[in-house]
Amino acid sequence: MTAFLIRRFLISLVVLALVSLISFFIITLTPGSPYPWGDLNPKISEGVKKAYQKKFHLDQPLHKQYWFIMRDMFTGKLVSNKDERPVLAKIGERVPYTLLLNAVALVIEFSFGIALGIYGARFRGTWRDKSTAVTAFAFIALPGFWISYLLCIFFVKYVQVPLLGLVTFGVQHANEWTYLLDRAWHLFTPALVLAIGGIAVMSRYVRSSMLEALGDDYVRTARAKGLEETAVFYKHALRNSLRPVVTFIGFSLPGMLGGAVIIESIFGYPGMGRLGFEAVLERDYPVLVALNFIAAVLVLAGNLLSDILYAVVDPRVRLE
Amino acid sequence: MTQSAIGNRQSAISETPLQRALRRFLRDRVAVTALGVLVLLFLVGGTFLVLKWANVSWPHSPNEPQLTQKLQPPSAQHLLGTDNLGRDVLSRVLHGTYISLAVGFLAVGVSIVIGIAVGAVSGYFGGWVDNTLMRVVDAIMCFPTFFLILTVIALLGPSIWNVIIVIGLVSWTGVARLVRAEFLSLREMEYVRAARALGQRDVRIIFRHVLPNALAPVYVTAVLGVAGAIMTEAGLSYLGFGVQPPQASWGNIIADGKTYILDAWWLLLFPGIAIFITTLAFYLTGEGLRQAFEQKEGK
Repeated sequence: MTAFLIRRFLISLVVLALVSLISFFIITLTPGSPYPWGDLNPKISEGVKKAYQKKFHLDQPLHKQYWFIMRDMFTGKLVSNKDERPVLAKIGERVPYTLLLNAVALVIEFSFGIALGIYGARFRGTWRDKSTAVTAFAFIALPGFWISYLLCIFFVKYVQVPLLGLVTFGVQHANEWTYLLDRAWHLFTPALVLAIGGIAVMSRYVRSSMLEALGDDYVRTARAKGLEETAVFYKHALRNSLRPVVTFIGFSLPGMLGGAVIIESIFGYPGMGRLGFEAVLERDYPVLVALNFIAAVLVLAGNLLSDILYAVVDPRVRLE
Repeated sequence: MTQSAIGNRQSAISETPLQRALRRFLRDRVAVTALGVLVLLFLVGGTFLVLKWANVSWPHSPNEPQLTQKLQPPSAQHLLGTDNLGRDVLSRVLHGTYISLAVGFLAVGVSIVIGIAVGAVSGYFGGWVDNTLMRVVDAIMCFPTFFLILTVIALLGPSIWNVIIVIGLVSWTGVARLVRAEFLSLREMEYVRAARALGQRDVRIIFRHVLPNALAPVYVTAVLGVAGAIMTEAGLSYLGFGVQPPQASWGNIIADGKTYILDAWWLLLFPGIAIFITTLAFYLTGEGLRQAFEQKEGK
């Protein structure tokens, strides 16, 4: 176990180094000016440009630029090209919101995805199984930005709840409860949109691992003992088939962070995705490099966590 | 009766894996329907590409503004209504078809070529080559894909070719892993050893002997990848970083329509349905293919 963790940690370090290299060179080598103003802007004199270059080390050769960015990132001194606020603080204030949004989305995914998967396995091969499969693929095929707008129209016209931003703008809340309720409403819709694809993927996972478990020897033994089919199904097979669900958490992280770019922008939700989108529009290189790096750290941590959880849930798994 | 049973058994044995997969695929009604929808989409896409080349505006011109007709709800004249510049939504959706299909197929083509090359080299040679390449794959898989694509396109400047190349360059990792896994097991097979013992060159062994046997999972990933690429293109066009106006694409029709969501629902609804139907058809076809290739007989 310890040896496994050390090895995984070392491999993760190598991967992270590659991530930082790739993200830095992709961003700096793509053609296009690194300045937040247009090339023909008459208000920008040569002197201003020089000062800007010097400030953000843009006059240095590439390998030195990479070194400066990495050094500043790890010492926490990296500042945004745009407003000169520390990058880590800028990202740090968005992380809780992104994690909260993704956590709610995961809960929705788990509750509906597992149920749908069990249903499919239970009625395997029948029209019910087929229709759950088609439903699942329909969920994956729904474009997130499109369904966001449809839900916006629906909620605004028929349910009349606030949607955009973190809380309703300009409302004084009587007490904490109304404030919390307001926050919850704003969280629910983007989380639902974010979860739709995941529900489908999850249900496919659960279904196939249920079917695998149902073919195992201990299930045959349980049936041979004369246990009722429901008991065999829910007590014996289901418990064992929930293992891959655990891996799913780590697996779904990168997609969630990436997929949130559009959805966070639509709902005006202040998460990492929207920060990234703004940084792309403003050509804020330090924020982009740091954001990709932190996303990669989260993904690697998620993968490691799901491996460890896998071993915790199933004692037969040995981490070597 | 026994005669025909034996005959069936024999024909089942003598059919190639590809024929068997085809037979199974044709038995799956959902997958065949999805494939039918795809064929229809191809016909529509092809027809309108020809119409565009021939400069025929049917049913209306997709790009020419007609400000007197702006924001008309669906009617007999404009079946799906008109947008804020008076352009016919039906024509724009139909002209968006070949854009989506082209982006999907070309992007997946790029990703498959890279994925097969990396996976084959990695799996066939093993050792430090494999280790290095796989760490690079790990690193690329750590990036939030859509965000990475968006970043590169935004810096490169949006155009349909950039969209195709960047989606391809970012999404080959899955194919590489699949091909590598196949190669790892296939390279130990006796026929590969025999080929090596006969003194054949590595390149020939890889392309002639191993690769054809490693392709089955790639077909499935390719079909699913087309759906993913179409979705990504729609998202990019929606953000303004994909297909540029006046050329219509399903994503940018929705982007144009979002300003009018409470007044002109038709601008939003119909292109979205087009994206939905197309990606769903690709996913269901891919799922049908996967089952046809993977499932053991009789299970």
